[in-house]
Parts: sequence; C-alpha cells; structure tokens
Amino acid sequence: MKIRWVGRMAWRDSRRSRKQLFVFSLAIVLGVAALVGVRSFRENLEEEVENQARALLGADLVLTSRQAPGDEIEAFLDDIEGERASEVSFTSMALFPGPGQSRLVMVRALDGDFPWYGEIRAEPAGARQAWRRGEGVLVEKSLFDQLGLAPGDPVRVGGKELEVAGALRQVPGEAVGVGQLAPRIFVPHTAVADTGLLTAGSLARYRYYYRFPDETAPDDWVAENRDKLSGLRLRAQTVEDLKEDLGDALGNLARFLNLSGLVALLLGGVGVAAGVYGYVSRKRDTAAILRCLGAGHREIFGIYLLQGGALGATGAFSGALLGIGVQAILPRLFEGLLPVEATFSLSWKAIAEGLFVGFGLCLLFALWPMAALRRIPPLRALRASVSARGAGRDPLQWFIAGLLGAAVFGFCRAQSENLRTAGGIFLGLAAVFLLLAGTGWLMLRGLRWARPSRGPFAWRQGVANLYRPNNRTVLLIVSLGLGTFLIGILAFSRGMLTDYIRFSDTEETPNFAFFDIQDDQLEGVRELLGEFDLPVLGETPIVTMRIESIRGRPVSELLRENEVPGWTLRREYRSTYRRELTDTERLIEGQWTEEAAGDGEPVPISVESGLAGDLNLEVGDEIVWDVQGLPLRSEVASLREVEWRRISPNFFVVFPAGVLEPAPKFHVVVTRTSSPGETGRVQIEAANRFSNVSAVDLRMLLNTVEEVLGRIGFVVRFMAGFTVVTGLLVLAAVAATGRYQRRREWCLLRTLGASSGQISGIRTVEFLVLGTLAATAGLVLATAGGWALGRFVFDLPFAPSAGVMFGCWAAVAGATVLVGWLNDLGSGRRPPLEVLRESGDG
Amino acid sequence: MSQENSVLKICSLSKSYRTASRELTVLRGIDFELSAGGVCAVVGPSGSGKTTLLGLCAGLDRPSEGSVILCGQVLEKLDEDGRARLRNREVGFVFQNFQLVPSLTALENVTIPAEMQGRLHGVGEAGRGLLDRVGLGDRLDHYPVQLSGGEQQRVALARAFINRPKILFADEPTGNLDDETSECVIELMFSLNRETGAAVMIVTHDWELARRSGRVIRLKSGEVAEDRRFGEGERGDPGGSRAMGKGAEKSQQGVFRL
Ligand SMILES: Nc1ncnc2c1ncn2[C@@H]1O[C@H](COP(=O)(O)OP(=O)(O)OP(=O)(O)O)[C@@H](O)[C@H]1O
Ligand SMILES: [Mg+2]
Repeated sequence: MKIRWVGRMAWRDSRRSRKQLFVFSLAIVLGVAALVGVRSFRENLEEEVENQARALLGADLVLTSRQAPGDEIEAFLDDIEGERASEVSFTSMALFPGPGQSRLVMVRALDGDFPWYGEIRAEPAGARQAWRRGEGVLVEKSLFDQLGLAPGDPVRVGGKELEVAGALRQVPGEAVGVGQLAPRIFVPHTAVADTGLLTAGSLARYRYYYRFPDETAPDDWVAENRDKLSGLRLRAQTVEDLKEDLGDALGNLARFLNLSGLVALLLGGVGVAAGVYGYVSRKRDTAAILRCLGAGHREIFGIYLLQGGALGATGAFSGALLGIGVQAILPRLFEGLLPVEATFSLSWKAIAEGLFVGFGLCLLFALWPMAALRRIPPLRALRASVSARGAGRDPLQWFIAGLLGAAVFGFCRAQSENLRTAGGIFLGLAAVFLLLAGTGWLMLRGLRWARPSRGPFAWRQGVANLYRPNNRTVLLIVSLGLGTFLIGILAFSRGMLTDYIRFSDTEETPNFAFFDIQDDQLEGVRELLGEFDLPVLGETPIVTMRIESIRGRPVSELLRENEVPGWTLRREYRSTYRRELTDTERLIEGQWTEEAAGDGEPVPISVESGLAGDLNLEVGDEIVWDVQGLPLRSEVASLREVEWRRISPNFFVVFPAGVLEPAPKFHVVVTRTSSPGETGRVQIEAANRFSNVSAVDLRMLLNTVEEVLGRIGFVVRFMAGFTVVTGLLVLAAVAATGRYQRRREWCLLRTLGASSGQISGIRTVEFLVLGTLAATAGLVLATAGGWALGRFVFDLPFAPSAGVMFGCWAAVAGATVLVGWLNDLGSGRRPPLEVLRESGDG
Repeated sequence: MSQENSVLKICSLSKSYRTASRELTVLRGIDFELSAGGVCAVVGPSGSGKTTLLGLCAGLDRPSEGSVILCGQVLEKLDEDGRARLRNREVGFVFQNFQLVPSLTALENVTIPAEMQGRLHGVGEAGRGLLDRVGLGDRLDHYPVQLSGGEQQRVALARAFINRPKILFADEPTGNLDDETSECVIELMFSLNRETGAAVMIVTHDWELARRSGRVIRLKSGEVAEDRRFGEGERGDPGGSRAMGKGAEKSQQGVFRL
C-alpha cells in the first residue's frame, strides 16, 4: 500500500467536505464529554476521599448503638485504649421564639474532643468555641438562614432555653444533604439532661468516637472484637469502612451518569454512521475512478479509513475538551449531596479513556458505511448503474458490526456490577432503539398511506421529501425521539409523584402530626386540638421494642453469622396494636388476628412483607421481643404489604389488641390545619404545654421531599439534555449530507418558477413533520414507559399530562425546524445555475 | 502481426449476464488484436455491447469465456489488484462523462495516476506540461465544477497520458460535447497518440471519428459484424445521418447536464 499517496489523497479528497465531516464528528462530542467529565469527577472525588479519609470520619473508630449504655457496654467502652468522645442524638422539636416557628430537628450533644481529624466548621468566627464552652447552640446553616437567626437568639429544646451561637457548616463525614430532613442542632452536652427529652423509651442514637494510639490499627481492632461488638449490638465504623461505603455510592452514581454518556455516545455514533453513509454514497464515483486509474482495494479503503480516523479524532478530542468543562459543572449539580468537597483537577486517565472510547466507537461507526467503498467496482466509472458486486454485504461490514456490538457490550459490562445487569442494559438499549425505529417506521408508512393527494403544494412537497432516498428519516426519528423519550419519561414520573402528593393533600388527609405523646399527655393534646377547633384524624399508640431472638436463636448469634442485614436486628422497632388493617395495608399471607387472648400463648403478630423477606421470616416463625426489659413471645401470623409512601403512620410490626395496652407507650395524633400560620400557632402552643411532644408540619416534609426529588431530577435532566442535544447534532449531520441534494431540488423548483415563499414553506413542512414524528415516537414510548413505571415501580395511577406532551412536541419540533433552517442558511441566495452545476460531491 | 507487437489480443471473448429470469448474452465469440500505436474504433447500435467490450479489455470486468491479453499479461490470471496495477502502469482512460474527481483540482486530477505509483518528483512538472499541451496551462487550480465539459474532457485526456500508457481506452469521449469541442478533443487525442505511440481503442457513435481511426469494428447484437480498415482517402458513410441525429440529441443532453 502506498501510504504517502493514500494520505495525500485522503487529505485532498476531504478538501471540499471538511466542514461537513466536522459536523459529523460533532455528533459524538457530547457523549465523549459526558464520559470524560463523569470519569474525572469520579476520580477527583475518590482522590479527595483518599486524601481526606481520616478527616472524613474525624476519628479512628466510631461505635454506634441504639440503646442507652448499660453497665456491660460501659465496661467494654472503658476498656478500649485511646481517647474517647461520646455523643447522643435524637429528634425533637426546637422552638425559635424570635421568628416564632418551631421545627423538627436532630438534637446532638457531643462530649469530648471529637473530631481529632478535620474539624466542625461553624460561622461566625467564635461560634464553635462558644458551643464548645457550653454557651450556645450551633444550628444547621440552611435552617439558620431560613429562619433569619442571629447569634444570641433564643431557642428552646424540650424544657431548656438555650442561646444560638452560630450556623453549623460542616461536620466530618456528613454530607449536608443528610441534615436536610431533620436539620442538625448541636447543643452543649451539659444541657441534655435539662431538656427532659431523654427518657426511657425515647429513640436516641449513641455514638462513641475513639482516637487510637498510633500502634493500634483500627481495622485489626474491629476484627478482633467482632463477637463482642455484635453481642453488645454496637456497630463499628472505621475509615476503611467509610471509604468503602463512599466508594460504592460514588461507583453507583458514576455508573448511572456514565450510562447516559454511553446513550449519548451511541446515538452520536449512529449519527456519524448516517452522515458518513450519505458522504460515502457521494464518493462512490470517486472510488470507481480511482479504481479505474489503478488503485487497489486496500488503498481505497485506506483513504476512507484515514478520513474516518480524522473524524473520530476530531470528535473525541473536542469531546474531551468539553468534558473538562462538564467536570467543572458536575460538582455544582451535586452540591450538598456529597460528603467531600470535589475539587477540580484534570484526570489524564479520564481524558485518555474518553478519547479512546470516543475515537474507537466513532471510527467503527464511520467505517461501517465506508467499508462499502472497498467493493466499488471500477466498471462503475463506465456505467453509472453498476453497484457493488455480488449480493449481500461485504464481510468486512459484518466484522465491523460485530466489533461494534462487542464494544458496546464491553462498555455496558464495564459500567455494571455483573454480566446480567450488563446484558440487561445492552438489551434495554437495543429495545429502546428498535422500538423507536419501529414506531417511526410505522408512522412513516401511515403518513404515506394517508397523504392527501390534494392540499397545498408546500405541504405535499414537504411530506414527500421525507421519503427521499437516503433521507434517513427513520434514523432521525430515532435520534430525536430518544431525547424526547428520556425527557418525557422524566416529566411524567415527576408529574406522577407531585400529582400524588397534591392529591394526598385533600380534606381528609392529615398534614400535621404530634409525636411522642405520653399516656398522660394524650388528653391534653386532644384538648389543645379542641381549643383550635382541629379534628383528631387519627390516634395511634406506639410501643418500642427490640428483637431478642428469632426461632430460638439470639440476636447476637444471628448478627455474628451475618446472614440478614444488621439494621433489621439492631434497630428499635416502634410497633403498634390494633384490631383492623388500615387502608394502606393489604394482607398477603396468613391470618389477621383482631385480639389476642393474652393467656401465655405466643402473640399472633403481623409483619411487613419486605422486612419478613430481609429476616427470612415465614408465617409460623417465633420471635421473642424485648419490650423495655420484658420478654414477649410472638408468632408471625400474617404478612402485610404496606404502602409506605402514604403519609400516615405505618408499621413494620402490628400486634393484635389485648396484649400491649399495659406496656409503656407513647402516641401519635394526626390532624389537619387549614394554613401554615395556624400550624405555627398550634406548634408554639404545643411546645409551651408539652416540651417533649414533637408537633410536625407534614407539608414541610413534603416540601423537602419535593426539593430532593427536584435536585435528583435536575441531575437526570442534565444528562438527558446531552441526549437531546446529541439528537439535534445528529440531525445537523444528516441534514448536512442531504444539503446538496436539497439545494438542487430547490434550484430546480425555482427554475420552474416556485416562489421563495413556497420553498421556505416546503422546508418548514419537512422539518416540522419530521420533528412531530420524532416527538410522537418518543412520547409514545415515554407514555408506555410512564405507565410501566407507575404500574410496577411507583404503584401509582398514570395519566399522561397533555401539557408535558405539548411541551415536548413544541420543543422538539421547534428545535428540528431551527436546525433545518440553520443548515440550509444561505442556500436560497445562491444563483440556481451555480448550484445545478455543482456535482453531488462536495 | 507478431505477439510482441500487439498491445491487446482478444480470443473468443463472450460475456453473459445472469438476470433474474434468464441468461443474457451480451458478447459472443469476439476475436481481434490491436497492435502497438494502432487506433481502432468500435461502433454499433446502442445496446450492442460496446461498453461491455471496452470494460473487459481494460480488465474492469471478467469475461464469461475467452481471454484478454493486455500488454503481454493474461488478465484472467491476475487478481483484482494485479489488474489495477496493470491499468495504472499501462492503461489510460477517457470517459463519456469525464469522470474527474470533483474534490481535486485539475492538476491534482492529472497527477493521480503518477502519484499512485509512489512517484513524487517531477510529477507536478509533468502534469503542468500535459495541461499546457491540452491548452489548460492557466487552469491548474480550477476544480471540475469550474470547468466546461470540453475543458474537463481535456483534463481527463491529460490524466490518461501522464503515465505514458501503452493503450488508451475511450468510451464515447465526445458523446457529451458539441461538434466544435469534439473536434478539438479528438485532434488532441490523435496527436497525443502519435507523439507517445500509445494505441487507442475508442467507442463512438461518431462516424466521422470512426473513419479517421483507420480501423472500425462494428458490433451487432454482441458479435463482430464487420472489422474494416480504411486506406487514405477512402470514405464510407453507412448510417452517417443517424450518427448526426444522435450527436444532436447528445449535445442537447449535455446542455441539460450543464
Ligand atoms: N449488469 C448487467 N446485467 C444485465 N445486463 C447488462 C448488464 N450490463 C449491461 N447489460 C446489457 O448488455 C447490453 C450491452 O450493454 P452496453 O452498455 O455494452 O451497450 P453499448 O453498446 O455500450 O450501448 P450504448 O451505445 O448505449 O452505450 C445491454 O443490452 C445491456 O442492457
Ligand atoms: Mg456504452
């Protein structure tokens, strides 16, 4: 092969099409950018985690317990060599008399020098010192700002009046997002007793932080003491554990983001293939001439291989550059959702990987149509009708197609945990592409069939243009439809969830709840509601308990064997008792018992099906509970399915009436207020009368949920945006290949006397119909997807919103028309003669 | 005529195409020989197999039966690339629709075959010389779209001679040109034939051109109906008026093609 000649020919031959080839290469830019950006982002985070590892935990070891420390635990904790700090935390109401509001908060009291690595950050300067001295409270920054607090403002927690010292910005190892559902408040540990909130049966978390002497390795220590830890129901966490957890979380996030990158890249690749196909079909004559003049197969292939390579390199390189920009944006999208601050630094590995994947895929996609040139017979120069010899495709094309499939599968594999997920993703992608193509094809057929033979000239001509040979209409429908599908399904899911929340907010549903009401306070709460003229919409008793043994095996033994998730054994269960199922529950197995005899027989209980699955429980199994010190034997009599999303008190375990009534318990009372103002007044009054009762505005929780949903949705939309823009770039690429043909047609029409108004009418119709078909295909699929999500995931009724549909259609059709217009910009002004003289190539 | 002296020798050449329903024999038992520097015209009604014959002679296609010996090489024994190399070294082409590479300038089009051999030195010179020779010395950097049909055909002629071929194949080289331009192109072709000693096989409908070739092979339904040599001054004129009519029609087409 004459390499120099091939190189020179490749360069010269591309001369008049470089702009066009560049437009093709743009199609993969966003895909590569996403890959590079996501990968760099992930690497930076991992590096940050590695660098800040000890500061992330703030200590060498953290032990967490859900129960107040007894003698046994105290003895064990005292024996551990090293410095210790302890913390107790619980949720409660905090009343801010300044703004006159009260909020559910996470109260935390820290005793000791934690953190030893990293620091608790607070503002203004001096606030942290004031808190350390026991003179003030640090309030989560978001809440601090929201309520417009200032240092020195009063705050009441339980029965204790305290002073705000400042805003809490960061605690080692905790993402800000963690604090959002119940904002954190750090109170001086000496004040906890005075709040009167920490009584037997209240739900508190106890933490013990340790700094080890240098010679002790935390992980070894944990390994040595494993049995003891599980016996005492202490959960241990070391820096290594934290790193592992963070790594897993980051991995999942990155995999999801990468997948959207892959979708954009694949779509772009298909666009490249389509563009190159058009390009190549205009290069057939050139190839035939060169063959006539004596060029071999390999030289011809070499010329286009070089051009394809340049195309891939340009796309991959531009994508990598853009990816650096994406990396700069991603941390902002995830602000507050991450435990470490992401810094910005170039990851050469990410860039190299993006370049390699982008270049490789783009080249393969480009080579697939280019391979056809290899077999162009020289005879074509003599007789234009001669096409490729022999039936069927060049084996090289099959080979390239196989390679492409393998590459895509390989990528899916790299992005998923196991082969099955990889296969699922691969097939899912294929199914979406095929379904879109199928829908597009059917619609095109339908349109052709329904096309009116009469109608305005521009309409008939514009629609006819969609059937022009080599117009790649189905492909365009797929590429534009894919973006529409993603955006549509997002909008539908969001709509479903917000509709649901709105729907829940009706007359009968509670929006205000009182938690932690003691037996003797119940009457008082009822009275309070009466004074404000509020209805009691529900009263539920709650008894806290722990599992002591299952099927005769003690929890400590089960914990050691690690067969079931630890939290299911360690947690404190808040169970209730009642005669009937609520409307958020459904019995799926066994027998519901209304009332138990209480004659020493095991109590027949009902367990939530998900928990039963985690604990490997079956109907008939025996569970012994520790109800605040007293053992209680029970038998699983039924399994229930619980609709957790419904805002009403739901329970893992429900006892029949007649057993738990005498046990120490507290109550939840729910009601409904008509306005946030009323809620505020009731909250303050409740705080004055019952310091330990939490009066929670459920609407506020809904707002928080919506905010989190919105944040995640934004991330997803950002990535879906990549697909949409890639779809438009694919359109630009394909439109660019059809440009000359279209110009010739218009010139011919103009020569025949068509007005420029008619011509712009034709092109508007063409792109408008194309955009409409694509939007329809995408929305059909999104509707099906939305229905499936509603049916199988959210368990919600799905009614596609006409607004979303119209919005998607308008956006996609509008953008399509715009890209079409931009592409043909200037063609109208050129003299017809010049255009008609131009040969197809160029 | 000795073996040495012949650039093209064809023995009982047949070509048939298998169509969906039946086998279509386009050429049947063709024999002829063309000596070095000789000129021969192939004429015949449309569909008689002229282009097919030319393609077979140049090794652009494979015959169903018979053999082609081009410049001493048996074409059937060469593979695709071998035939391509042979074409590059020994063969020049001129087509009815010029077939210039649209993305290359006139000069670059002319130098392709030389550069394809790996020659780089003096190629530009040679190309410029040839373009000068065909009267386009001042259009070196023009692209095919910027040239008229006649000018494009002259670029194609220059390209055909850049590698000093032993034989030139021309398929209706004047089919898309008006009479005056045709005359100019033909004049050039014959003088290049005399200067370089390349043999010429030319397919044409133009009786005038055929007569000037000195030898005319008339095909009819895939067979050689007549192989006739003209002496000086001899003039035959069968179907001359028809040729005129055809020419007029072609030039009309040419106008449409622009
Ligand atoms: N690939 C093919 N398959 C079937 N038939 C073919 C094929 N190629 C050519 N033919 C037939 O072979 C016959 C001869 O074609 P050819 O092009 O050689 O004629 P021609 O003499 O060059 O005609 P014209 O003067 O119109 O150029 C025609 O009838 C044509 O239809
Ligand atoms: Mg012909």
